[in-house]
Amino acid sequence: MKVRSIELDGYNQFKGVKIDLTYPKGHEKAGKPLQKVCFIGQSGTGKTSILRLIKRFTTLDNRIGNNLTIPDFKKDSVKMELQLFDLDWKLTSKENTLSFVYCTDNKLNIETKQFINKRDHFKNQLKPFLINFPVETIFLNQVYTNETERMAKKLLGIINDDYSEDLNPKQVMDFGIDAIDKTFELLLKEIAEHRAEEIIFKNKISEEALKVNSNSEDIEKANNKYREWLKKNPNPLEKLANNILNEVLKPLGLKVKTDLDKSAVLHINNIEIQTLDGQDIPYNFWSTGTKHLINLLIPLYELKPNNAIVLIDEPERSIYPDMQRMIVDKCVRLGTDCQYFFATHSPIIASSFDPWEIVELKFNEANTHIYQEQYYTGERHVDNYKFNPKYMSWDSILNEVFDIEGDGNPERQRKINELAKVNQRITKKKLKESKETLLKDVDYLKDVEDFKILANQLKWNLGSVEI
Amino acid sequence: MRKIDKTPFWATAFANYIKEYNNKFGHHPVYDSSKNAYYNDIYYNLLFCQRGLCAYTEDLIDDTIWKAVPQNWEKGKYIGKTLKLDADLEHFDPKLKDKQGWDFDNLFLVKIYNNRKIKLGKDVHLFFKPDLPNYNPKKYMEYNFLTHQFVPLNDLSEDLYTKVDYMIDTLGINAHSVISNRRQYLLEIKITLKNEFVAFEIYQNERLYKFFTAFEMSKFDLI
Repeated sequence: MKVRSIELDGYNQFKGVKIDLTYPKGHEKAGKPLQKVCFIGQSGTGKTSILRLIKRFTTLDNRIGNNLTIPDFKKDSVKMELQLFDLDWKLTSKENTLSFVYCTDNKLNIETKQFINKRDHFKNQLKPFLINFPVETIFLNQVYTNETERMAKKLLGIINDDYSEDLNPKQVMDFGIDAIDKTFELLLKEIAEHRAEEIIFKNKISEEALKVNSNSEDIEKANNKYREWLKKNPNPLEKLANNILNEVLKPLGLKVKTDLDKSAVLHINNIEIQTLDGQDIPYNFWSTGTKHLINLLIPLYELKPNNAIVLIDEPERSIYPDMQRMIVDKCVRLGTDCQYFFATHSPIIASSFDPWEIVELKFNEANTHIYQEQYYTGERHVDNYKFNPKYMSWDSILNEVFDIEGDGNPERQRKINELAKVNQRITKKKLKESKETLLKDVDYLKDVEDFKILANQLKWNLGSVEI
Repeated sequence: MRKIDKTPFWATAFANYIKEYNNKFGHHPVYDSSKNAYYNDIYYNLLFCQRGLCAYTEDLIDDTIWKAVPQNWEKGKYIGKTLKLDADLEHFDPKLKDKQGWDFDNLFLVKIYNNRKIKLGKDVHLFFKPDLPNYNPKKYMEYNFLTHQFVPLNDLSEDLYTKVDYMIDTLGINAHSVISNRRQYLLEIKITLKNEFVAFEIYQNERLYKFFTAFEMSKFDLI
């Protein structure tokens, strides 16, 4: 599913906002829905509200948390154009309900009832068609316990294949409503099952070895059976670790624990991590950033979203800038033909987007309403955008995209100004005096020395580019 | 900050209104940018006088309509196209805002950021006013091409040096965004002169449209 446009007029503080979410003219995908979108703007400009509206309009579910619902709509204050395979339709707010309008020019040329059936049929094929990671994502809440009996029951359940029968993939995975650890049971089901099988095989090998009349042939036989099974059923935890998690955990000095020891058996349906030299890190000691990365990447990896909408609010939270650099691309790579919506305050996150993928929301001068800042002049064409965050330095993004004045602490500006004055004195003296005179001029030499000190303090980043 | 010539003046309806009001009450009507019927008259009159540039920074405000301003007056009122521009009317001397708030001599069109975030009613030294008959930027400051900052002339008296330094700061002539635009523009010019073999004077006469003072003062760095 994709969102093609959003119109907001009279909803919260939005006034006359029409967000075009298609590629502009001149782009090879001109007119098609954007693959990824980044909302930026001052706190309170409605980034999160728009993510919630997307969820509301695509799922028809107005819950935004376990005890919260989206406030009532005014008539026509929100309009959204949606697309799913060949179908286009439009939804309009109608005093807390949604009024449905399907596009008459849809390729299938069918009546409304058929249209809805067709749309719902398509929707049902997508599990999930929406994944939501709100800021209030309910963290994985592993409980480290010695309740071996409980774990044994769980293990037995897996062996008997009646492990969480209700764990079917859902159409909507909303981590603001569903506790992520419950969802992890589903996501990591394959891993848990594999572990359980592995335990059975290992147990059989031990049984053979412990028999009073054990012989090496039987032990070898059991061992070979295990190896054969392992060959046919590669460890999914190792796949998860090698394909996605270890790459992001390594810079944090961590890796996924893949050994099947006592702790792993007790936490059969959880992911455990350890230091690079193999020391276990109990869940309660995971950093917030580590939890965030794992909670974000595992669902995307395991769900393998296809044609889904993925909403990620503040992907940068609690993660270091080096990780922010890669998080957008990592998320986008994990789905096929999906549409991703991010909301951020980070210039590093914004640098992963083309200008047509950024929606900047701003307060008007009187701070009474919110509008969308346009980055192009004239026709909406790839050539008419005044900048591209992908080509800009992060401080330029802060200046041009986030409207932040300055390139550092005000003290830096004062230092540059001081340096400019010293530099002018040096330049002027050089025009007037000979080299011999200058090299004996104490004031000149002091200026030369001061210039170097100031330039070093400014790391020779003097706000200029030599040509 | 280059010299500004405010003699082109068409806003006669505004001038008459202010004159009559002043004669009657001894002061100007309260300055309220959003409620004055003559606001656009002054705004666009100044836009022309300043050649579409910010009075203090010489950064571009508009390059589409300022040239047509002289042709768009009727009975002393501006009737031409109006645009939402990145510029405010600014009172150079904030002390005059209360009683002489509509004094044309004291008003300039400046970048919104400079007006609302930098100058903010700060006191000024009156000698550093761009429309004074004897104002000349070369008398007070020079341009440092390495950092793209204006600095006071080194041979000014200590007192004057401090005052010029204060005014450069107060008017936002070295605001980061201005430096950034100025640097970009001058570096582009430097490359153009170098690669297209364009003479400095030809560029000055035919292509230059903003940052005139920095351009003139950077001649040796640009060629």
